[in-house]
Amino acid sequence: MTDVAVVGGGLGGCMAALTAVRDGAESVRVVAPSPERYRHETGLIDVLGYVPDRETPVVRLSFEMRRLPDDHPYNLVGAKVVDEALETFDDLFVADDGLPYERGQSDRNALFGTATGSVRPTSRYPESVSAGLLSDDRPVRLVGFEQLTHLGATLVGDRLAESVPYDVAATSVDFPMTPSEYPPVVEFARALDRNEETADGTPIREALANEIRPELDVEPRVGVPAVLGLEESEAVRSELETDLQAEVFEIPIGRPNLPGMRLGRRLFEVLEAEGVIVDEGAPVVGVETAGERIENVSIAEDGTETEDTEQVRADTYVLATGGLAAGGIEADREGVSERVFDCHVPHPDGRENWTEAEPLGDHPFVEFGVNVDGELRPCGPDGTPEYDNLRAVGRVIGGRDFVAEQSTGGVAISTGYAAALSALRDES
Amino acid sequence: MGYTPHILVIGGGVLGTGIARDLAIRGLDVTLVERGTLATGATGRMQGILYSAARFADSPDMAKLVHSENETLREIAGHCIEDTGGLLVSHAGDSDERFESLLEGCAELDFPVEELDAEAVREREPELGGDVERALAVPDAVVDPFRLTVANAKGALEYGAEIRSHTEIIDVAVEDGTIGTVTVRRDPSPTGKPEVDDGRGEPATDGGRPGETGTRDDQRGDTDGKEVPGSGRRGAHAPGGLDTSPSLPDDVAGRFERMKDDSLDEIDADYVVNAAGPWAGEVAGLAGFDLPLSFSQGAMVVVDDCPVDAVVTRWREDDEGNTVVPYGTNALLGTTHRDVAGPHDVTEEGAEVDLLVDELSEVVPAVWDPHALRSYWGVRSWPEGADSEHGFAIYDHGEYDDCWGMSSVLGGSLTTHRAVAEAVAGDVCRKFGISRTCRTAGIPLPGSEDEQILDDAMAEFDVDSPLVRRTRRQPGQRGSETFEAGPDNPVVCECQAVTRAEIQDAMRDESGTALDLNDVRIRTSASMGECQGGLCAHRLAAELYPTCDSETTEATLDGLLAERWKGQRHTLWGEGLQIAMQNYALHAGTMNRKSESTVLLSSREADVSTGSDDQENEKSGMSGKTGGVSPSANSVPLGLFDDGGDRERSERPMWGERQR
Ligand SMILES: Cc1cc2nc3c(=O)[nH]c(=O)nc-3n(C[C@H](O)[C@H](O)[C@H](O)COP(=O)(O)OP(=O)(O)OC[C@H]3O[C@@H](n4cnc5c(N)ncnc54)[C@H](O)[C@@H]3O)c2cc1C
Ligand SMILES: Cc1cc2nc3c(=O)[nH]c(=O)nc-3n(C[C@H](O)[C@H](O)[C@H](O)COP(=O)(O)OP(=O)(O)OC[C@H]3O[C@@H](n4cnc5c(N)ncnc54)[C@H](O)[C@@H]3O)c2cc1C
Repeated sequence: MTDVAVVGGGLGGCMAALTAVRDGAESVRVVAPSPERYRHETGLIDVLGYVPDRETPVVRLSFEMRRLPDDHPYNLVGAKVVDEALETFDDLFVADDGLPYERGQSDRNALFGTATGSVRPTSRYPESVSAGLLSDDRPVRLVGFEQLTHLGATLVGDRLAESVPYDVAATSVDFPMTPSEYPPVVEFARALDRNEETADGTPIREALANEIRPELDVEPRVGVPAVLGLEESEAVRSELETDLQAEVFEIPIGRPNLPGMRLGRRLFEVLEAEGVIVDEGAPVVGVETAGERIENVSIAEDGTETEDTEQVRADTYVLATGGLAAGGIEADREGVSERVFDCHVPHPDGRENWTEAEPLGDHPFVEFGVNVDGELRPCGPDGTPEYDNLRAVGRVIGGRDFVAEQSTGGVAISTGYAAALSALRDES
Repeated sequence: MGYTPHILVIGGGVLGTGIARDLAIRGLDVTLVERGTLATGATGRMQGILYSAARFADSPDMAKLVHSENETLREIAGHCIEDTGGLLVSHAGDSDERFESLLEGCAELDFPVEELDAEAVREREPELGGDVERALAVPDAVVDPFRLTVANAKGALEYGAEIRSHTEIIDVAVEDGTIGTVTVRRDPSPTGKPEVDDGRGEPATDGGRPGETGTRDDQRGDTDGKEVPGSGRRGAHAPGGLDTSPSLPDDVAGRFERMKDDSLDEIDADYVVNAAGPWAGEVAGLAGFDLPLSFSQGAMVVVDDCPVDAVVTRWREDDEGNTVVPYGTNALLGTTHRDVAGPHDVTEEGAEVDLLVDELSEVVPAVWDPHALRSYWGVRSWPEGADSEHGFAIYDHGEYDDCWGMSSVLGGSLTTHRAVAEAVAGDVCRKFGISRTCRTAGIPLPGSEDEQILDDAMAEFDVDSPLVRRTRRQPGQRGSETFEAGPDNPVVCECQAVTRAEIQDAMRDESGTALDLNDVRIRTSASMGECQGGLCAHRLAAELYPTCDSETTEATLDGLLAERWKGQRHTLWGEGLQIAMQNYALHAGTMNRKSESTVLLSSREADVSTGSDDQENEKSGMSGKTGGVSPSANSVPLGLFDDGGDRERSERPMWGERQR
């Protein structure tokens, strides 16, 4: 018997599991079918980047949070819980040298440049990107890699130069290895992890520094696409920094995103260290309910139910399967549904009403997800909880464009934390 | 004979180019104008079936025409056709009567068809649905409308015609019951690409310079090679023209005004053939005439898999959503018929997409699985009151409007276009007392022997086919350049395996100027794969830089994303919607391209003191009072934001210290 079963192993699910185990649950289990999902994550934890009717990024988080509508997840769980949740997240990393995270002045947003040269607010960020803070007025040099088209360094550099009051220079160099696949992101990272020798026998970290060095002028910081190692990223970066006598930072690119993958790995390490059981690679294929309660869920390696499908029976369940992008919410031509427990997902009738004409318009589909009550329980159309022992966290919660608001990470952390507390409170 | 009439053909679809070729082969002087690139009208938005006659067995005249044209096109344009064969299938419950009358009709007309029972059908097409009862194997084929049109145009060029794309008819003068001067406007930057002053500053087409109303002869003299396809795009001139002065009266003074605009030009032809397809009514309207045309719109859906080998058509009364056309690794589901008032009346609706998927997943259940890549719509036009949408008529304005000098062509189909062109060209020749026979059925289209000739013509006319992609970009075609991915040639679009060298090649056009991303997309198929451009659109854009400045690069990226969105918007469910959400998250979230771009002011520029929360947050939206720096609604003082706290920062290194 498990106390808490978490369905989904993203940031929200991991936070829920961790909180539950730390808060006294004896056995916690996470069903995480697709750790690959972290390839989409930038590793930056956005808490609140924008509020309606203001075009500039939010400065002080706690201040703006209070002004969000009552049914915003931050207000459902309450400011105090949000603070505790973020602190718990921060504590996972500060004390640890495995994957240092920064929170800078934790109540103020930080600004970074994106892989297309826009300025973007975020709140918590891995140390590997931190020298790239735009709200730090030292000159920057961006260095792209010819073999990696994810970051057009000169374009990004020139666009950033238009947005910041200091010099941004940019160049491209050859990454000192020939890719055997495209995109070569993971391949480059692995080579740096292992410090493989290049064709002429130079270790690749040194060879990379040799490529970059002639490009540097007086800039004290150098930004490169995020490929600097997966397991040994801190060692790779610090060797480059020593070699170049400059701070080195990474710029998150499109998929695959190494900072996100590192975050995922780190979270699973922590979970396992704390005794959480993680089932990787097996999705939930069936659910048994009795009245208002979920009795068990069954999981199967290949996604289809057979006789020896394993059943996970728990007192309480956390739905952390993500939104449309991750597959927690799915749509067919007629309607939209929540995949695992079939909770109610409000959506406009008629597919033509799901989208707007502009590619980045205010699309209703972006808000698809379950409605939750004050205890984060998914609710049916009438506003009453679908199940007594089910809570929803992270992107599977709908009703708001968390992407445009730049709050997905903070919402996942806060709701994950709050759901675990509320579930344990209930069960005890 | 001495006198050679000069014929102006309006419209660069399959029919207009077919007419130009026919007339040129008969020895007439021909100028064809097309406002976009070739095949941008109905021709580029059709379903691509070379019809077999069996489909028309209940109207013997049309059946005979289609029968001979199907065979003729196979002979002269085999390189634009893929002989997939076709199946007309009947399901349990479908009208037996219709199928029987099909059989009878074919027998009466002596058409070679083969009847198959359910088992034989499934042997040929294992993916067909369980309800198929029987089928008729017919000589349908798949035709590439883009290549066919360009082959026609090239054929016309070879016989001395002049083809001008990006040239729009904007006025047709009528003087004393006769068609007079036709005014055209060349699009100086046909794809919306940035203006580039190439220093030539001279319109490359002809003598239509300001104030010069040259006769046809000196225009022709100026061009010297008529083979300046798409030449309207070479000269760089300020855009403008009629749009800025829409109320100009159509009188001499007004015409004079217009001639000051050097993107305008006049053509005095001896006869005008209006082959503007669904837009023929608008062109006739420029001369003050109406055309009796009917219109319908048709939707098509491109899916990500190809479950059939042959063109499969469900044969029943209702011909909505009844055909699956195989296109290499994709299949095209088509089509619908919705009456519309004209080419501008098209409304793209998800309901038509649903209908296609619903109807066709009964025929080929597998079309349900692959995800729909995109949908697009085309407009058919045919003579009002004709028996079928495939009927055609020559509308002589001398006869109907008492005005000598112009005929409009109504309707037709791609399959029958050569025969329609023959009828039109014969009619024109008769008007001038010329009795030369049509030879288009006997002369193979350019590229039949050596396909390179057609590949080159595609590049010359700047047309790319979504079917035979990247033909112009084969390795080795341009110097020793190769487009294979390699150490020096990274992949930019993973889904379609498009490399940097390919993108850069596609960015070059005849004048060496940069193109917009949509052209790059059409030429390389980059961004047309599963991710719908989400993962690569911005990377494609970065390849334009620094040839284009950053503003242009941004604008063209927006343009590409908008185009890709338009295509997928009506097919969003299942995996398609999942990908759309991932793309939204990447572009609106990771890249932050949804919000206004933020400009950071230094602490000196913005005097920041830590005040109350309210004040601070207000300041983040502050504007201009800071003096000096480009203040705007989206500038924020950098000092308000996280500066890294107590993070250690390295000092600025000494110059030279770094060099080993
Ligand atoms: C949905 C659909 C499916 C079809 N499927 C098939 C099929 O499977 N098989 C088949 O045989 N036929 C099919 N057809 C029919 C076939 O596509 C058309 O009959 C044929 O392409 C028409 O060619 P066109 O040259 O007459 O017209 P268009 O291709 O429309 O050419 C007219 C040209 O005139 C240009 N033009 C317009 N106004 C001006 C101006 N003012 N100045 C200069 N140029 C101008 C336009 O840009 C356009 O390029 C289909 C049609 C549709 C719409
Ligand atoms: C037989 C066939 C098969 C196809 N197969 C596929 C497939 O396998 N996969 C797929 O994804 N798509 C396919 N398509 C779709 C096709 O490539 C286009 O995507 C489709 O026609 C939709 O057009 P669009 O709106 O994207 O515009 P496009 O046709 O892609 O582009 C519009 C063109 O019109 C020009 N233009 C725009 N406005 C004007 C103007 N005012 N005057 C002149 N020119 C103008 C632009 O410069 C551009 O060249 C197929 C189409 C056909 C006909």
